[in-house]
Amino acid sequence: MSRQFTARASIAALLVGVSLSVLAAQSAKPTIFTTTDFRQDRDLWTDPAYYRNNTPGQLRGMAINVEGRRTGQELSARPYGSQGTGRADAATVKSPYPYTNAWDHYQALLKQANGGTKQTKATLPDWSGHWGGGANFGGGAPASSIAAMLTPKYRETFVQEMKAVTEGRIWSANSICLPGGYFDAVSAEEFVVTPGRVYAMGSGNGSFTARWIFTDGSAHSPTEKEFPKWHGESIGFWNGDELIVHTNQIHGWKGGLSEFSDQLETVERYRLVGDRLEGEITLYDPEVYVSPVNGRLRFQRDKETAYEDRMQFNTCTDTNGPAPNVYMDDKGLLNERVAGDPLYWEPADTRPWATYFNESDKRYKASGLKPTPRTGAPTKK
Amino acid sequence: MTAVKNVALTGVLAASMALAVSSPAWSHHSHAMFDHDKELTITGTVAEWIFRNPHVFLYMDVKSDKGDTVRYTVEMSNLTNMLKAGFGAKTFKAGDSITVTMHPLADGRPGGNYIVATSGDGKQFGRI
Repeated sequence: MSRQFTARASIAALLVGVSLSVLAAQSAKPTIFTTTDFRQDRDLWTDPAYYRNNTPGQLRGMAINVEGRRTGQELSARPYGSQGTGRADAATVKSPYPYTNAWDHYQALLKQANGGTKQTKATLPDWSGHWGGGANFGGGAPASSIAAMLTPKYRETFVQEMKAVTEGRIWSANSICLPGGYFDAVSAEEFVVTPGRVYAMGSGNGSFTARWIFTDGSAHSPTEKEFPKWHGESIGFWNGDELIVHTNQIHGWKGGLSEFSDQLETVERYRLVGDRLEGEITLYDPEVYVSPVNGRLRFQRDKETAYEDRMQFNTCTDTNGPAPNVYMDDKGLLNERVAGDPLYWEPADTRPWATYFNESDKRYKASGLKPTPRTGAPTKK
Repeated sequence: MTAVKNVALTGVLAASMALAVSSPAWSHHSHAMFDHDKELTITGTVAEWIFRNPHVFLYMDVKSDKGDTVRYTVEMSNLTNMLKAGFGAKTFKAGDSITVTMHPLADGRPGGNYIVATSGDGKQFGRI
């Protein structure tokens, strides 16, 4: 008995010792909250512990740095550095398909559909009404799972952004009144389905999105007429009641998992299931993703469209002001700023948020500010 | 009309955000510039009521303790949320009395992100 007890006690002591050693080793590792130079931590970028197991959404919530309250942005608010709830097995971001490019994927689906289903007004599914929803890539997974899907260059910019957002430095295209890009348009609110076209529209606070999906059998624009478009160029076909869409010529921007390049091409599939539109979207961008990415598409049809939910045309500049490059000079004349002028905006900057992040990193470091978690009830006055 | 100092308690609700979900309802900028640890209640008169997207703005003139008038810039929500909360394009006009509780700008300039607004006739409009 006593020998058994002694053995058990020894094993327990050993286990405790090992656990403490592991914890000590882990605590010695920098996290995105403690690092002084995230670029030195490359080996840790795909480790959930580096982000304290937070999802990208939870890291963004730390910009508010309080326990979540009420609704809107405060709903996702979290104290700086708090432990997250990410689950690496929450969703698979990696595409399950064998294709290496979107066109092969699309052509395989077209072959499966025997060239597609010829639809008429009478046979098209009813996608009328107002819808809520969109694309979801790996919901619930920690930031490390996203970092692992990105090529080195884009992994670095992703981690740079994750670090900045926890410190309240959130720079997106939307935050400086630039277009949201392709992924904003994927989250459409209304679909107009006709025999030769599907139109998908959406509206945000400061934007309006529209897509034209050609289902009349026509091809993509010939190479000499191709150019990057905010929402790309989409062609599609029907396989029974399922719509399959191929999009290319997408303007490289930011959205989905991360930034993406002009090489992005996608394959979308949509099917009506009751009052839900369900499907998937597969992303092919070898410049950005280590392998093709797969996400879920899900939209829920409103039973009725509330007046305040009716779509409208919005511009971000309506209350934020116009771009600064065209201005009134000191003679009262219309004039234009050029490179080097104060307040000049560089339209050739293809990654304006990155310019902001880089400048923000410098200014924040120079300011000496340090985020500290705030957990108390609000101070009133 | 002076800045009112009062105390209220705010409920706590934690939620996680789905990863990388595209949504047209995404706000056009973060609210990180506001101090969400503080609530400030001010009473004054409406200078301008800008009922437009992407965010509605209320400009208020408030008399300070020193007796001078300070113009506050109160950022509110988008039109859809504002309509749901009961606000409308004609809810306020210049000269109306109004009380607003807000999270103030963290750097101390006169402005903030509204939590609740109360019109001169006592009608309360809460953030949804």
